[in-house]
Amino acid sequence: MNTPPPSLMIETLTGVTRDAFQRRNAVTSLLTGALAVAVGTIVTAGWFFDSAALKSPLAGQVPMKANTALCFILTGLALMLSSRAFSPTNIRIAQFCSLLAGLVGLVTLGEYVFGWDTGIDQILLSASSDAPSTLHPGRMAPDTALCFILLTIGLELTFRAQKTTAIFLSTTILASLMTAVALAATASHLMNLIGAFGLLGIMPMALPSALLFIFMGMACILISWPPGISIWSFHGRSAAACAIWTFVLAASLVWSLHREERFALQTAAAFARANISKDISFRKWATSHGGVYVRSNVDTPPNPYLQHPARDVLTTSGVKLTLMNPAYILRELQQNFGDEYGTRSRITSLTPLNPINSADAWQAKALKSFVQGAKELQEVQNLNGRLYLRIMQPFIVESGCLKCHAGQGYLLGDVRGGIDSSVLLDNYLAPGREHGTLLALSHSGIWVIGLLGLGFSYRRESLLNAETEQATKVLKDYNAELERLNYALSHELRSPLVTVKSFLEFLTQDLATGDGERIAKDIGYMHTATDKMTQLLDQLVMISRIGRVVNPPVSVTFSELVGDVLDRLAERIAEQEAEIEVDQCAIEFYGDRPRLTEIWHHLLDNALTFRGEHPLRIRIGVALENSIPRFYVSDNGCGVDPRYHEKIFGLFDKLNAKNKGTGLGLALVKRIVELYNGAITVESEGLGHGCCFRFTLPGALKGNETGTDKEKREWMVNRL
Amino acid sequence: MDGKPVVILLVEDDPAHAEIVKRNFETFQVANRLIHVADGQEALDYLHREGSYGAPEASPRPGLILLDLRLPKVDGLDVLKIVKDDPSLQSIPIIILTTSDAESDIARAYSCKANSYLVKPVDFYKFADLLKTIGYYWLAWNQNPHLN
Repeated sequence: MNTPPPSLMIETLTGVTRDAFQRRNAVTSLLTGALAVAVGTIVTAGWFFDSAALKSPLAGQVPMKANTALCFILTGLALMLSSRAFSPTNIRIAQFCSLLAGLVGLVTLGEYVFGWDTGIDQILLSASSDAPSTLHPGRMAPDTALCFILLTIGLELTFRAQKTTAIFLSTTILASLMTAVALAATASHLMNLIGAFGLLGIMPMALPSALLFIFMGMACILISWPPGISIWSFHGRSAAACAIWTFVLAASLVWSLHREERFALQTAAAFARANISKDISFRKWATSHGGVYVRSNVDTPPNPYLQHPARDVLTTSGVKLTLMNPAYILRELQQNFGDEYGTRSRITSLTPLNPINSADAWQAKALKSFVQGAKELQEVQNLNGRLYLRIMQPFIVESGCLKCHAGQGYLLGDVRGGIDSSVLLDNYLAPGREHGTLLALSHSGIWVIGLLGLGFSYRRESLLNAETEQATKVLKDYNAELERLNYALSHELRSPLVTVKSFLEFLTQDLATGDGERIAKDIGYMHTATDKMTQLLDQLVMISRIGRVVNPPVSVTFSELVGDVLDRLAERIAEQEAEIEVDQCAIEFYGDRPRLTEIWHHLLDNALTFRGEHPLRIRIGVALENSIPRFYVSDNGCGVDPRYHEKIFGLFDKLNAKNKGTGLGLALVKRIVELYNGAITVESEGLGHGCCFRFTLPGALKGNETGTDKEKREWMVNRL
Repeated sequence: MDGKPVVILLVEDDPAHAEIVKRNFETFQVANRLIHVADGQEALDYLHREGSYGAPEASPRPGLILLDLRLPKVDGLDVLKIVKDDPSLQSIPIIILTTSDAESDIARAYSCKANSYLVKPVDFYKFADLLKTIGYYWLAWNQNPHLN
């Protein structure tokens, strides 16, 4: 029967899906790549023309570094190039571009960790053009560098034309790690915290960089997604589990670091407030005394801004005293002895009497907010590359203040000015950093252990899946064959029955007429039909036994097997006067001896049956192909038309109507060969040119009999 | 009908079955010439006038084809498909005469435009009856297309 092979339909379907897949991948690569190149170009232009708006396209506080922009252009180009059909040149350029970006990331990270100075920070622009607030001008943030390393590995993986599930899973893990880092940076920007990065004393990557990394991570996952795998499939779920695990661990780490940092900040703030309180109490004390007279000298000259009739007095012993007003006392304390408190504080006002006390931008902002009713303002600031916590509290006008400041129009309860206390955060962050390092290490450890666990369960499940698939395939094959057998039986067995019934009737008629010639013919037809039925039944029993009856496996050599067959067919060989040549070889089998014998038996039988006119010569032997023994039985008989090379192995498929065979012999051989994981083919140049059957029996070779093969075979047997 | 009985092409790999058909047609005095070919390739050679059927006089156009399904070399269904796809042959009525009563075979035969599907009965009288009916219906009653 010519059933349209169902595998063909699946092929075409997959073909269509694959096309759609490639289109989707191409569009994803192209769009994401173009976005990265565009943003990179805008920022590079920003550095070139020194435009702050262009440097930070999302108006964040942190500009994207020129190096980062360059790397985005490179990786974006790589993605865009990979979106074209896989031409080797394109891929090579794409690989080069992404490797370059990864290298910049690697060197930058090395600079942070080992304190190198490679000059890579200023490949594009000189140091002077960067904001002075960064400790390392032009250097991309360490998280950016890490992300570029991850991105490069991810891209190199996705550039492989072969989309295996292993590549898909690795890319997913890399991309989720990258996305998690970028999300942490985004979170710290959006929540306006110094974020987990404060612990390390660095600014996180710029917001647009973080967003680009997230996009590119998603693109990598999408591109490496093998066709035909749904998110709900086993592989899809495994990838999702890896990604979720990465995000959970990253979130937990960021949250823990953030808590460490809050703790450090609170401690620092408490210290700053204590300092402010101390300053305020000093000032109150001084105010309550209406100022204090001290010996005036070079360090403490009379305050030129103090309007007081008795500012300078001379004691009876001739000592020059000058009146220090509260602000003067405090300023001197803060200026000369601030270091002893580990903090620098400053009194300031929007309308100072002494211009030294005038407010800077932040102080002015704070003072304005105090007028609005705020009680305190605090901010972490990066001054010359070091982090400070600045806290400012207002000075409220009390009666003592008005002695000097009444002239400025203040009323009781007004905000006269403020005290700004800056605490260097390094000391407070140090324990947090220690904790943070431990947290980062433990989280990384847990992350890796989790991934390993996921990997193990993935392996286990995929092995199970493969087994189930294999089993299902075997079952399907058997079902299909059973159906075929069932159908063929109804046809093949009914056919001789029709003959017998009909010719019995003809025989009755012919006996009545006494036509001797016809009677002989009738009986002849019935003989043929019954012979055919017998043969059919015999072979059907044999073919069904392949699965059911398993003789215990024994060791047997090639020569022994062939010897058996030659003995069995000795009579027919003599009858056909066939010349048979057998190769000598030391191959030893381990398997079901009677079954293995069937193979050579049927092939030799075929050779003896389908002979040509000339003397029959048959060769039985073995040749090594890629160190796998491949057996052959060749003859110079009538040969097989190349059109039927497949068909001859089918159940009941006969090529010659006059052939007395049942069409089961070669089907039987094929089943035995496949039972031993082998394959059989026939070679023939056509009718009259002889033919050669070649087959392998990997599962039957001694020493090659693996546990799996054995189990599989037993499994198949049990299920028949 | 121009009076001259149409030629019947019997495609049957089992010589015994071919003999049964032949004898029954003789019994029922079906006057048509019955040509027997033993496999699908031979049937195609006959219809395409190739190989041993090269001469047109050796291969008169059949007015009816009795086709078995399971045939050596070229399968019955393939013969059916090839004939029904060939504009010069497609009008020849084809009766599938087989031992298979598998639903899939019946469905496929009709989807390949078989004109009729008959299962060979095991019982002789029924088989004889069937062949008689074929003779009456397809060769006497049925108006077959005019063939050149």
